[in-house]
Amino acid sequence: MGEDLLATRFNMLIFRIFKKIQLSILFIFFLPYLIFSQEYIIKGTVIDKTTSQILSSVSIHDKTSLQGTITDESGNFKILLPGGEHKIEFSYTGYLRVDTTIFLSENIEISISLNPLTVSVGEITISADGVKDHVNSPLMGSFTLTNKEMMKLPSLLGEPDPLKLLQLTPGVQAGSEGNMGFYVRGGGTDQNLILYDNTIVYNPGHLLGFFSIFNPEIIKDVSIIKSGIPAQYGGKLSSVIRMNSYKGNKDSVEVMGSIGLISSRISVGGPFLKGKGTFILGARRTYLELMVEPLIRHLVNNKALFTEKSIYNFWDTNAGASLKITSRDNISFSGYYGRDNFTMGRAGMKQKSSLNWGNIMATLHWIHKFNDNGEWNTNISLTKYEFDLIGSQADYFFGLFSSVKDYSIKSNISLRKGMRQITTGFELTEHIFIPNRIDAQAGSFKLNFGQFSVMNALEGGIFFDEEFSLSSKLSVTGGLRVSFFNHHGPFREILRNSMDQITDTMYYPAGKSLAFFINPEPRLVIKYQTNENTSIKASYMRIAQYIHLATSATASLPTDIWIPSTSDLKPMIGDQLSIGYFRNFPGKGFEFSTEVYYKKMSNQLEFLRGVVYNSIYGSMEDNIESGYGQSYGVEFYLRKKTGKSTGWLSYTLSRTEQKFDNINSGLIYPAKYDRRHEVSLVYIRKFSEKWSGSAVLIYISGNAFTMPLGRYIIQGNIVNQYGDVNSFRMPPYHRMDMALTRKIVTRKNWSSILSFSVYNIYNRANPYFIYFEASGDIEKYSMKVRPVAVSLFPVIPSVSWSFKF
Amino acid sequence: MKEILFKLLLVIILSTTTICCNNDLDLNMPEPDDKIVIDGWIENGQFAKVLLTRNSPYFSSIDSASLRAMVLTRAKVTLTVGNESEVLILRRNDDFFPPYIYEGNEIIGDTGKIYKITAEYGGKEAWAYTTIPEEVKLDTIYFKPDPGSDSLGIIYMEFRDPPVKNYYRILSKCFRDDHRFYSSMIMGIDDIFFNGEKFGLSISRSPESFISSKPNKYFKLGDTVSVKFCTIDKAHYEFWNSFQDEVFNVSNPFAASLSSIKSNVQGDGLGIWGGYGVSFYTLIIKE
Repeated sequence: MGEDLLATRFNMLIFRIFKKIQLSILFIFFLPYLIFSQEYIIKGTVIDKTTSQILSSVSIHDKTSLQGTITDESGNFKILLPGGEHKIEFSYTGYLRVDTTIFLSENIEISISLNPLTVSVGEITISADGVKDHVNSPLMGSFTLTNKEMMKLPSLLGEPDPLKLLQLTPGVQAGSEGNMGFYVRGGGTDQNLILYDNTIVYNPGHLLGFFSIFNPEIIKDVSIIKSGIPAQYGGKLSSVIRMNSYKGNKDSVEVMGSIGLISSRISVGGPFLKGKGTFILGARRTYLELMVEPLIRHLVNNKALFTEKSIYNFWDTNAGASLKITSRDNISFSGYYGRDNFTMGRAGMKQKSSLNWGNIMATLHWIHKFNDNGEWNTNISLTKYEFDLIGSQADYFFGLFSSVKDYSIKSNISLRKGMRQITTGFELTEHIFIPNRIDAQAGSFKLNFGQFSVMNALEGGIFFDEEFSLSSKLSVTGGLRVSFFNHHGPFREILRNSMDQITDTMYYPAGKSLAFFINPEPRLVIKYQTNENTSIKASYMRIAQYIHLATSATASLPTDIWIPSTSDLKPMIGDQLSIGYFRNFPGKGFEFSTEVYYKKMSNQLEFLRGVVYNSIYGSMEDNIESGYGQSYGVEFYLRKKTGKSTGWLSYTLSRTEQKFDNINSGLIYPAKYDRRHEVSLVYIRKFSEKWSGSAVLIYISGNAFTMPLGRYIIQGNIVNQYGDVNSFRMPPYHRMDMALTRKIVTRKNWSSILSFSVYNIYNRANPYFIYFEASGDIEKYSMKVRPVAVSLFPVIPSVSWSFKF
Repeated sequence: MKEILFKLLLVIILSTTTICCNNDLDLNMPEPDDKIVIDGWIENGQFAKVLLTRNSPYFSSIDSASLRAMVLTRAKVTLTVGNESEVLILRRNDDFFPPYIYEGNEIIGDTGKIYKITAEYGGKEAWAYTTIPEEVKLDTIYFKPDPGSDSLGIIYMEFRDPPVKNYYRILSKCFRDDHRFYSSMIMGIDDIFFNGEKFGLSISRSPESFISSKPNKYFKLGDTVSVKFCTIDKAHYEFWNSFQDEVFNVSNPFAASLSSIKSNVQGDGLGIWGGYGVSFYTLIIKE
């Protein structure tokens, strides 16, 4: 009976998908044919002149017709222009602009090499009217940062961190001091699709989230999209963060590394097979054992929790390779493996606990070029995140293991036909969750948790995206993703009677569906370009998210547990509307944009009690509240991309609210990450060939939190009586960081950089959390309770030395 | 040698720079509604006992005067079971805090019955119901020296959990210096993982309060210890379980506490009115 139902569901799914695709194809394919006249195609590839690496997202702009495009992930571009003379410019942050004049009377193919700015001495002050990508680009709500920019900015303890730098851009908020978890336009930390070479990263944090798991030398660039997300991405409601790794140099072997206060790293890269391929190998390790004990001691400022001995370290390794098999085929590999190990104990109390966690990722990417008009990208990947928490005290033992593992395949074809660009394909991911495997023992008695459950789910999507111009000013990027999620067997459901006794286990065989969801997700961006330097864009997107993060605290922790949608846990659905205005100021090198957005998220989940509670009770229903959230706001952004001084200023005014039936009597209340104002200023200054400096200034309104209103006495203990959830505000967060780098060139092939960084330069004590400390002896009538704000990072100077040869 | 110097340098730099700052905060908060706080219990074979206080605003200073103002000594506390009822009488008892306790004189706790408590004060009224579940006997209870120690240890007990839903609570009193019974560190135990099975538990010395925990958590040779092994009802268990979250997690940033304690008191009240099915043991730990 159940299988019949499943078959019917699949039939319906296939029927629905085909119907939707047919409609979109009819609409999108044929409409532009009615509009175009006699035009020719310019196509080509853009590469880095020094390393021959392909460059994606390079802006190509025709000054004559005001049309433009950007290069795709393979460095290819294609633009359809009317016959006649065209002045076309190629520009990309950190590279010298190239202008060419082309007379078009037939389809042509060109190859462009761009010079990096840093190697062209004397070219650093070029006038910067060339940077047009945000006006021309079919994307909105997007931002890209290159490795060069990353390395120049100040960092905590000398470890540049791509994800933390994204938190300085509009609409992206840091979760808490130094934390990797971040919120994009009111969405939770689990709503960001973080892709490292097209592979999902489940937990991007080392050291309880204070450091990114990404070795900064390996990251070529990082970008974020917050609205109008293309249909090829799905599964997370709020953003797509793409990180592309550096795969080594084609010409010679190079060694890069750095020695810092808390960690050192080294990487080796170069060519193989006579330059047909390139590779890179990198490793990083901390010696943080020396530092973490004082940190933990202050972090957990409760004497009862004081630890006598703690050991902490993390390490990670990266490997990457790229190989050109034929003139049309390129295969690349990238892998990551990293671990954090943390042990603490109190000998006096016979307490010992340890927490180990880490990610493994591996990706194989194949690009096949059919011809110059199209290519086929296929990506096979594996990603795994796991943690293992062990705690013991005298006779008691508790162990909690959790993991999520994905096997994915994504394959898509990109075709260009005239000015139209089509991307279509599919994505399939088999998730294997072990939400919680618990061992607990009290003396010689083992607690009976039943058999732990492994949850399997197949998530997939079929997508279609098309970009086309309706006129020289109006262009549309539209698409549809049809996503589905099937929670299937093998699965062992533990059945308990009303006395909580385990009576039976219900077994669902492999492939049997326990819950099935399907969602059409339309995406649309409309761009109206009024002139060369100005455009207005509007976008709508719907995204379904099928996996949830059960968090236990305000900070993102390694012990947050990923769980799939089930018949009890419905998928989250997010809808977002946004409108933006984009403007370039040629000659001055400035770009400006502003965006207004409204986002609604249904089926948001709130886990009422901690992870352990979630883990212990078989059914999570009574611990989970389902409600909705909404966020709206306006973002302003001014960036200077070229010249001796570069950087950006961003301001976000926003509100994020939630509504749950059983929280605050069902009234709308502020989400914990509702922050009214957010300002960041990033400034990079090149003083000379050797010296450059940078500064970052951040101001964020305090986040909402729950406070006790009163207190009372139970059995001689003072306990708190809490007010409404999130009805209080933390003090505002602000901080300034500065960095100074000195480039040392000793020999031709040997260069090194000495970086001095100061975090929190004016030593602002930003509250990380507030706790209530009771002291004294109530029975002696002297008792004090006070709120105490704990701050993590005071002014922290650091120095690191990085080298390359 | 170089490495040692380098490490030393790091330690110096890091220890001077990563000092966290704890600051007092100034927060403006509204005052809470005035509530009657019931902290009361009834055991099988015993009279009811109720400590009555009121809540206080978070930022009122706490000294002897304000603490005394929290104590309600002029309330009317009524215990009802079936058609029977009695008004409890206030007595001074320095073993408790506050040192005033409302006690029954007539009605004795009996297994299986439902007891209602009502507290009235200044026009406000709070009430709660509880039951006394069937008590469960221990199979064995003994002192278990700590490995590596010849005089310090814990108390270990085993019992067979009846195949019905049970919640437990263990209270102990060490005659060395305890004035009354204190809860074990785990304040409420749910039989979900051992329902109907034989199970063992150990307790260390209970702290008097979680504000000032005793440094020594062990029992030792020569101690005389009384243990109350109690069964409690579900609402009573939920109170202590959430109370435990509150006292353990309130200063832990990595635990989502900040949710209110689940009270079984209705009306203008907070706190707990709990029935205990007690089986009582006294252990003399011989030298």
